[in-house]
Amino acid sequence: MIRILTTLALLAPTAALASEPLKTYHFQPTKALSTLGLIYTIAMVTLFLWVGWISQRRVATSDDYYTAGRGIGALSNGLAMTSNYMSLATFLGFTALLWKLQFLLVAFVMSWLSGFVLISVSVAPCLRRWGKFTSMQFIGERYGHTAKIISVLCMILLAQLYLVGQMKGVGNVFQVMFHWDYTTGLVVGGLVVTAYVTIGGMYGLSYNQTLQAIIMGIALFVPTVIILWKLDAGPASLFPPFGYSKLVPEMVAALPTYFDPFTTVAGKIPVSFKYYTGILLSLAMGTIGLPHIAMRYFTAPSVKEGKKATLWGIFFIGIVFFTTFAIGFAAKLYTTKVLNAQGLAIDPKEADLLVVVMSQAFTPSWVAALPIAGALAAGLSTIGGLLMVIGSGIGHDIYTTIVPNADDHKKVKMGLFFTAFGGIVTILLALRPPEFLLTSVIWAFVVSASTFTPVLILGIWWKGANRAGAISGMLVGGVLSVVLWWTKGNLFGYQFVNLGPLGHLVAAIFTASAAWFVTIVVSLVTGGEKNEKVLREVDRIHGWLDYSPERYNGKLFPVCCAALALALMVWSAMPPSAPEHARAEAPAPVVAQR
Amino acid sequence: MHRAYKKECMLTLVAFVVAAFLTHAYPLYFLFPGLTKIQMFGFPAHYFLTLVLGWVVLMPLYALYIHFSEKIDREIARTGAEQQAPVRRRAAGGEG
Repeated sequence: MIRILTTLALLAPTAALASEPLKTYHFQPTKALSTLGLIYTIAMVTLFLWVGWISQRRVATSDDYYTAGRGIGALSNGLAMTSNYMSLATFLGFTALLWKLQFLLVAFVMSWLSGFVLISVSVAPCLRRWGKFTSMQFIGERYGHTAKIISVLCMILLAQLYLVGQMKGVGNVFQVMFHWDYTTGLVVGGLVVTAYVTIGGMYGLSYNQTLQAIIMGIALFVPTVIILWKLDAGPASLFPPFGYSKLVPEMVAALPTYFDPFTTVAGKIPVSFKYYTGILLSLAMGTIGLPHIAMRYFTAPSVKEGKKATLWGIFFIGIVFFTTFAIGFAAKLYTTKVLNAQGLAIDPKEADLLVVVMSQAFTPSWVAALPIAGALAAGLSTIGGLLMVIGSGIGHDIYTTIVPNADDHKKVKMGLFFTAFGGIVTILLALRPPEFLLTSVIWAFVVSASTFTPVLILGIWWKGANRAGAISGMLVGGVLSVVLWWTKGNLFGYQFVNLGPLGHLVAAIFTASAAWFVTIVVSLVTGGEKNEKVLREVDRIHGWLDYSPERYNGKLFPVCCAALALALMVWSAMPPSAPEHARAEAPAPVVAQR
Repeated sequence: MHRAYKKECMLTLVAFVVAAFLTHAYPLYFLFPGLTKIQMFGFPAHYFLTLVLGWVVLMPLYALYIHFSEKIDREIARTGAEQQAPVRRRAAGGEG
């Protein structure tokens, strides 16, 4: 409080500096912060390895290794879902994105939260009843081996889009906070997570993710309460998600566009209704298809427990997401009102460190070091979840396609090998990461929404969806996502997608709709699914003990979906409603790594 | 067609649309731009509504969804068991 008041008291003399160019503020962690952060990190990493080690004793079968024996309770699973979803970039990057994008980031986050509910409503209960290990396996049994191979390849691409950015983030945290060499930090962090996931399988991953969610919650909540309190937010600061209303007038005075839903980047770029539609179709619908999110439902003891876990997940995710809004709000207010008035500006490259910058400025070192541990926990939990998906995707799904009669012991060994293999490859890729893997994590959601989501939803809710439809839909959606991303929305000289800020999002209106449309039309044209074994399975995964050919076989659902998809594709290709200058001013794709 | 089947489809559709709307309330701001000018509990109304609808309101509604979907699941299991019972009795040499 004293520090902030002193700083504010200095505003008058420094106001004269406002007209001069701002000097760049460079963050330097204090020695106490680095030391305590390192102590927390070592303690935390030791705990994770120990949990991985003791979990190994529980792994006897492939069911144990890939799904933790389907015995993870609702609360623990809800925390693990939270942790799985909260990546390093959620923890640190959201504050940076809020700082840059303001209200638009809130829209993104609500869409991600929505994805969690939508997956639970539309596909997760049926996938859980179906009773295997991965969504790719479902696609394989529902649509055949070719579809499974395509889906595994899409999964590897998606996982790498996430993983490399996360691994790089872990290396960066070690580098900035502890002054380690980037490579050393990357290799140490990468090997730790690879070790505990490989050793402990899904048991180790689930228990560690539960722990990581608790660490993340504390590491974000405690500093935010102190920061808001010291900024004079009053007693409401005890509950940060809604604890900064008292500071709103100050923010509106300092930055009038902060809460504006129609513009972003300090009011410089308009945000259209079409753009918000792109958010829904990419982030929310993309989450439904993400294999590492669906994977958590396979570990639940029953469908009901899976749904209860989702409820816990929404609760905890909301707490963490909304607390990041609070700390992001405080960071924007602090940088706008205090630092800028002192003639200083945050280096945009260091915006990811705002949580730590704020913690160091307002809290004692033992609290300020908590976000360092929290950020690493967030990174490791997401990396762990993705490595498990790679391990099960290659080690189980592809291996059992090549060797259908493999014994259970061999399946566990293969999972173990490919989880470790995925970890090592990711560390190597992150040593010199390809640029496209770092700048396009949002693109992963577009790919997911355009490949996995349509075939999963249609495969569960429409018996007519068949192999030809699914393969065509995934190929068209996947290829369009890649090509339109690469050509910035242009195809054969025609602008199919009119990009805005983070243009990949809007691309989903066209690519995801195309995938839905093609899957349905090709399935209808080729006569729908004929294999009665598959059709009976569709009834079974909904809980029916008997079989009825009429169930989930109407034409209304697919025809409505196809019509809506076609309308969205046409709308996507129509000229933008936003002024031309808005697109010209759009920044280069912003890193939004989750 | 079974009533449970229709209920399952309807509940899923309604839950999907409601969840999508609560977390994507943005069309409201385009329809009623005045929302961005008024305050609710110290926050701009549209900001507050975005957070409250997408989280605070969503949670109890999702709990309701769990309640009803479980009820329908039990009905589905019961219907299936009733359909299969005569077959089982015949297979066991019973009166059916």
